[in-house]
Amino acid sequence: MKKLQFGYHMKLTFSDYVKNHRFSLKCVPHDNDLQKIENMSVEVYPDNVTSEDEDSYGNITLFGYTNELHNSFGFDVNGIAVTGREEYEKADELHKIGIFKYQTPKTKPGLRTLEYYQKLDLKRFDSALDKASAIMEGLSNSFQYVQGVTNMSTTSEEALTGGSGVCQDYAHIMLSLCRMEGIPCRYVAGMMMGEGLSHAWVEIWNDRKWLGFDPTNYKLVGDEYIKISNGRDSEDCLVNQGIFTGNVTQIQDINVVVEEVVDEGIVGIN
Amino acid sequence: MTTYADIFSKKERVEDMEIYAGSEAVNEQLARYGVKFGIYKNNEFKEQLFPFDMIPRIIDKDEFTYLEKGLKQRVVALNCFINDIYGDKHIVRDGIIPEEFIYAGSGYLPQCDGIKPPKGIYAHIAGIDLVQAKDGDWYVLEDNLRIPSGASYPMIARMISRRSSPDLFTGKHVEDNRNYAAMLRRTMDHVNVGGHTVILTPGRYNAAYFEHSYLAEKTGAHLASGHELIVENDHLYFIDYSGRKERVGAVYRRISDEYLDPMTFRKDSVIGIPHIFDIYKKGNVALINAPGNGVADDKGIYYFVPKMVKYYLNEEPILNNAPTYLPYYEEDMKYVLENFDKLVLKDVAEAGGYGVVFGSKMSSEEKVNFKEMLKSEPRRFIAQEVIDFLDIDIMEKCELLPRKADLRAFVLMGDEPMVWKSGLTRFSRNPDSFIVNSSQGGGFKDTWVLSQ
Repeated sequence: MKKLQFGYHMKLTFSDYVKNHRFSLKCVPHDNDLQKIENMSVEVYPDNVTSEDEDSYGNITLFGYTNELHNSFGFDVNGIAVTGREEYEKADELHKIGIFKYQTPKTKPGLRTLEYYQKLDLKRFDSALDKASAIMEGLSNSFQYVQGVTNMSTTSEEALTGGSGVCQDYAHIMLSLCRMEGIPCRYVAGMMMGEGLSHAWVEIWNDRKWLGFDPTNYKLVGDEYIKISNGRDSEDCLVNQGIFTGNVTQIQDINVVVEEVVDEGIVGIN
Repeated sequence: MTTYADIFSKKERVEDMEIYAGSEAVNEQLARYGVKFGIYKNNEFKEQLFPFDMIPRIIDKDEFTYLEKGLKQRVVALNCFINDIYGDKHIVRDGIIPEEFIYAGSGYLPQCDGIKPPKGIYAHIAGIDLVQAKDGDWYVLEDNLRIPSGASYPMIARMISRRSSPDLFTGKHVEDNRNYAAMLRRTMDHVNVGGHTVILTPGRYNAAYFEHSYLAEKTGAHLASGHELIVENDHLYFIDYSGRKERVGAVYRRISDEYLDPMTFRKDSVIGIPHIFDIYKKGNVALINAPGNGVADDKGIYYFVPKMVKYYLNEEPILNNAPTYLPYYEEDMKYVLENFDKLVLKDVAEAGGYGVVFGSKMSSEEKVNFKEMLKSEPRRFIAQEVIDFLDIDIMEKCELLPRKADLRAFVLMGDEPMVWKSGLTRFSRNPDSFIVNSSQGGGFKDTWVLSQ
C-alpha cells in the first residue's frame, strides 16, 4: 500500500480566440478496489462550469461548455491516492464483459500483427495469465519506446509495423494480441509514479479478476499506479474531447506529477 | 381472405377506369404536397415521387386481430430484450443467444450499457415488415426498431383519396387510419420528462424529410434541427426564433445513433447535439427511439426473436419468422450448402434491400465463391426459404397486374402497446422482383383494415 500525491495538469493553447466550446473530460480518478482517492480538487478553466457523470465503463466524465471567447483551456486535478489496497479489481461475469473480447478499429489486426502473433506461438500456454505474460515479454524485446513517431490515431497494426511508439501503442498491440487469443482485456489510462506524461496500460480478465499489465515498462501493475479510466481502447478513455468555433491551431501541454507521501513518524519524546 | 374483387362490386370493377383515374389524381396531389423521398446516387441528391397505387391492400377484421396480438407480443419481447442486453444480459448468460451475436455486431452500443430510459422503453416506434404467403400465412421478415419510416405515406394518401374519390369508401367499413398522429403523440407524451416535444430532423436533404415535417404538423410537435437545440445545465433547450430558450422533455429524433451526439458517437457529426446523450443518461430528456436499438434489429438477431418471446414472456410466439437458417450453427450450414438454390441469402450488416441474393440466380462460379465466403464468415449471413408471396393486384394503364408486396405494420409503445390499424404496403413495380423497398423503385398502397 502506498500514499501517492498526484497532480494532473492539462492546458490547451489556441493560436487565436475560440468560442462555443463544448468539452468532455475523463481526467478524474475514482475509488475502486485498488485505490482510494482523498482530498481531491478539480479545476477547469476558463469557466468552471461542469457537470459530472459516469460513462458506461464506470469512468467519471466532466462535461460542460464555455461560450465566451478564450484562447486557452485546461484543467488541474490534485489529490491523494491510497493505492495497492487490493492486488486486482473484481470483475463482472464473462457474459457481461463480452465486449472486451472483440477487436476495435484501433486494435484490429492486419498482416503484420498476424505474422507477429504466429511467431509468439501462444498455444504453448494454457492460462490467460501466461499468455499475457508472454505477450508482454515479447513486446519488451521487439518494440521500442520512442516518442513522436506515432500519434493519437495510430492503430496497433500501424504501430507494430513501425516497430516503435509510446505507452498507448504498447497497450493497443497487447490488446490486439490478447483478443486474437480470445482473452477479454481492456485499455487503462492513468498515472504512474514520477513526473511526465499520463500513462496507459492493459488489464486482462481472468477468473473474475482484472489483472493489470504494463507492457511499456514490462511489469505487473502495482501500487505505483493510479487508474483514471478504462475502455475498449484509447478512444473510450480520451482525456479531453471537445468541439468549438474557431479556425486555430492548438498545442496541448500535459504535466503529471506523482510522488509518494511519506508519513512523518511521531517525533520522539525522549 | 378479402380481396379487392370481394369488396368492390362488379360495377365498380367494371369501372376500374375510374379507379385508375383516381390514382392519377391522387398521385398528382401527392406530388403537390411534396410527398417524396430523397436518394443519393453518385453523390447527387435526387428527390423521387413515391408512386401510389389506388387499389388498397385489404385485411379482414379477424386477420388483423391476429396480427395485432402477434405484433404486440413481438414488440414487447423485443423491448424486454433490449433492456436485458443493456442491463443484466441474462439471455446471454443462459445461452439463448451466443455472445458474439451481441458483441461482435455493430448494433450493440457499449455507450448505452446500464441505461434505463424513461419508463423503461427502448423501442417506442417499431416498423415490423411482414409478408403474406399464397396459403394465407403471415411471416415477419424484419423488425425495424431504429427509426422506421413510412407511416406518413398511407396517412396522407388516405386523406387525399377520401377527398378525391369519396365514393370509394362508402359502405366499405374501413378502420379510420387518421389517428396515427394521436397515437404517436400519446407515445411521446408518455415518456416526456417535462417540457416541449420536438421532432429532430437532419434537414431537408434527408430521405424522409417529408415525413418529419408531416408528423410534426400532425402531432403538434416542433420540427427542429440540431442547431436549434442546446444542452445547458444538464437540460435540453429549444431556441425559438426570438432567441428564447424553452425546456424540451422528449425528442423524437429522426437522425441515427451515430450522428446524435458528437461527444459520444461520431465526432464529425455536425447535425447532432453535443452532450444530449449525457443528459439523456441522467434521465433529463427522453429520446425516441432510444439509442442502441440496433442490437435488436440486426438480421442475425432476427433469428432469435421467437426464442425471445418464449424466454421473456413464457408464451408461444404468435407470429412466425420466415424459415431462417444461421450458418453459424453447423447443422444450419450443412442445410444451407445442400439447399443453396432454394434459399435467399442476406448479409446481416446491410439494409434497404441491399445485400440480398437468391441462390438460384447465381452463376455456378458465383455460387462457388459465395459458398467460400459463407464458410469463412458464417456469422455474416442468414439464409431463408423463399416465401411464395401472395400477389396483390396493382393497376397499370387500366390493367390489373399481380405484384409482390409486403406490409410494414407500426407498433407504438405508449402507456400500452398499440398497433396502428393500417400500415404501409409496398410493392415491387418490376414483375420479376421480390424486393419492394422504396429506395429500389417500388410503389405503395393504402392498407385497409376492415372494421366488420
